[in-house]
Amino acid sequence: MLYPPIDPAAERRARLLLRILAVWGLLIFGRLLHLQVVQHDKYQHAAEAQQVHRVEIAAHRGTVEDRNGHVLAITIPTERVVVNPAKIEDVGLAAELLANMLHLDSGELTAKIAARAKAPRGRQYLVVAENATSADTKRLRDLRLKWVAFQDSSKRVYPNEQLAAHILGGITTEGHGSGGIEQSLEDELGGYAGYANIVSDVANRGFDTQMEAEPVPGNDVTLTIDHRIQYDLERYLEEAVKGKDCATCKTARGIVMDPVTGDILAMANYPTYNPNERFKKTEVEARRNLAVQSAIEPGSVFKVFTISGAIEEKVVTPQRSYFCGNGRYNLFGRIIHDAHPYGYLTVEDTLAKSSNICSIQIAQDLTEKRFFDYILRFGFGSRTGIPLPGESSGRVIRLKNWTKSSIGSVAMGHEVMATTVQLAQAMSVVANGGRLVKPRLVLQVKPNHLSPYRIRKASYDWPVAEGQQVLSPESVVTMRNMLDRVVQVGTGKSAKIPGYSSGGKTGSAQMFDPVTNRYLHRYHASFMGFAPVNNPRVVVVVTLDGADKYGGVVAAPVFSKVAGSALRVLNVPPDLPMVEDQGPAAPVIFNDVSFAELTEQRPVEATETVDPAPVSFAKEVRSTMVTPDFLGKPLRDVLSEAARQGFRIQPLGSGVVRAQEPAPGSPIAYGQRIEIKLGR
Amino acid sequence: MTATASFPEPNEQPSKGKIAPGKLAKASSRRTLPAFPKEELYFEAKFIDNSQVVRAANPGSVRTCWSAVLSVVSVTVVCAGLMLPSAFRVITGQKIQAERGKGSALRTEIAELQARIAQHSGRKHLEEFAAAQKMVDPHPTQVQHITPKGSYARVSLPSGK
Repeated sequence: MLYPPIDPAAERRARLLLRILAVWGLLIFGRLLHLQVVQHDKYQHAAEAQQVHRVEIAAHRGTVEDRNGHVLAITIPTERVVVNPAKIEDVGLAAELLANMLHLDSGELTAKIAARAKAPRGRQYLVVAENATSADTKRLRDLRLKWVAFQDSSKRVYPNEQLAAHILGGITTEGHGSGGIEQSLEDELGGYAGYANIVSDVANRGFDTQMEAEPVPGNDVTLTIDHRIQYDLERYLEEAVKGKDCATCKTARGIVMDPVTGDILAMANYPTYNPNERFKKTEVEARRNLAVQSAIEPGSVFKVFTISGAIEEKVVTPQRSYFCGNGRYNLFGRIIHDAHPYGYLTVEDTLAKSSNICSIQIAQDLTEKRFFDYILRFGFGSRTGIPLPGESSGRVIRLKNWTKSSIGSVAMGHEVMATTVQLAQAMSVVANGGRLVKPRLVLQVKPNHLSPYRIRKASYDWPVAEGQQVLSPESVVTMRNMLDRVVQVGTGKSAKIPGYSSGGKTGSAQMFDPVTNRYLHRYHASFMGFAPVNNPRVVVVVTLDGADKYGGVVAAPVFSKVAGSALRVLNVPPDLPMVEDQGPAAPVIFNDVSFAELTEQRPVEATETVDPAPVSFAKEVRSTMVTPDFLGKPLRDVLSEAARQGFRIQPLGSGVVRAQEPAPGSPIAYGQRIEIKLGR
Repeated sequence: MTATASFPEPNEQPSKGKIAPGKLAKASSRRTLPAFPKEELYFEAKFIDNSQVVRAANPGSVRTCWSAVLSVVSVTVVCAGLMLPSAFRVITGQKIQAERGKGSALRTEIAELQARIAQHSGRKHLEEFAAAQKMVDPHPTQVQHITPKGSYARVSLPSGK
């Protein structure tokens, strides 16, 4: 076969074209290499930024419960309902539909949708309901409306409203803790947010989801408080502030504490607030946890620690007498007064009558150094470590900065500042046998029971701190008896609890006005006590701020109600016979004011009545009690009779009583345990 | 017209050396293509008489048939075996997702119920309820305290006292 000869010019052109094509191909190949290899990372990031959206998945916040499992704060998953007004054909109809299903105002909704429809493209997103319940959204979802979308959300709920508001705190709009336990235990409660990558197409429609990190839910926290005692404390504080006996009272604070473990059973302040509601500027003061954050001069309640130190150091005995200068005492040139002049008073009467002058003399006998040491050992001047934000350490002036008369001021609770929780901690020393226990607010931390993920650490109990021994058991017993006398015959008569013995100390510290830089004739009226006396189960500290009456008049009754209620809630058997209500308590015999200004100027007398009759310090009737005869009686009858008479029973066996210890007719004290052996 | 198309033979090689002019002209005429492609092809029906054909069973057809059936079944089983796990995965995934949805809804419901329980069992609500029912607190003497052993007090307070 023959082919025509190839034109050499054509062949040259063909070769040239081939070379050009080769160069063009090489250029393309090089460019591709540059784009896909050299600049790979850059364009991969650019593509991911365009196609992949990283979204945060909020962690489920832990639940807060009281010691009985009563829910105090819980997070409820909700849904956020959003609409796209651009896709709505009939705004009025859509608004009517949404308003009906989500319980909203249709008129307002119509205006909102119409206004948002005029917004620039991309900004027409309108949140109709922030926290819609699952029931509401289910009905709406079933309609399959194209202009409605749903987003996962959550709502923090405090079902008891203002109950324990200062302990719980609240959360910010971002979902972080703000105040209270919500803030201080943010790491435990909040958990850690997760992240997911949503891959979207060119129309920005997601078609794939890649979980980058799963959210770690927050732990559940069990507090030591008891919601029933908490409710009573809050109620009685509010009643006291609003009551006619304390017309000038502005605020109040109180704590109920288990002296053995340091568990805070209740902590309340007045005024308070509802954490479910948004923060209002007018509520700034109401949101302060005064019991923890506000240190005040404690006043006469501090005499307990003055005398405790002296008893422990064996400087004094309860029966040692001091001359109280008939109401006037010269302390290094400064004249100190008692509200009522006393001659000689024993140490126990000094506490019962709350004599400033004799307390100062006791402190002087203790010496400044040892007194200062005991102040520190009782925990004043340092934070208790309670897990609440903004705890005040109070104020204790260093010994080297004391003036000559400082010992006088400090002995009666001035020139020293303490928080309510510090007072409760210090009082627990007397109530629990001499140990300084750390207040405990968190009982347990455990994994979230509502979360599908359980990858956090296992539950654990918050440790009980080993307390430091401050007082010996002998000194504790002595102090308890002396504080019992304060309630029986002293300034704290109003603190008696029906059915229970109680001990405590009143206090009325003059309030300092920072504006005028002077002390006012308004008081921090306090009562600090425990009950029952033999085996204290609760320590209660109550302070009413701005009172024009003394602590024995306004604060002691609150103590009585709160402690009585707490003992009943804790099912503590009465240790005193239940007596019928004998009407209003007798007028308070003494006042307990501790004068901040150690000057000649006497404070204006408070309005409480003063009984001129001499005080009877007769021995109490309780020592003459005899053991009842339980022999032959069934357990039920024994328990009934013992409860009525205020004895505790230690049963052994079943049937009827065959033996008892102590024997019938032998002397016995109220609250003492009687062992009975039962047989058939 | 029975013109036949003529094409150069595949093994025909051009003669080396000098080519005669007549031979060149003859070769170019042989390269001439017909005016229309395949115009020289015709179709006509051919009658086939099968009346004399004897039908006899093919001994190899059964085997062929069975091998075909088995092949199809084998291929089907293999394909199904390969696809079933992924199909089950898809179905199970859908079930898991549905169960997760139910679990989420139940957790939400539990949280809502717990909040309502706390609201209704709170002292405030109970006292309001008691006031509405005109209930009164028992006098302290009417309250019978049983031994605290095993009671709330012992359980709730770690001190056990």
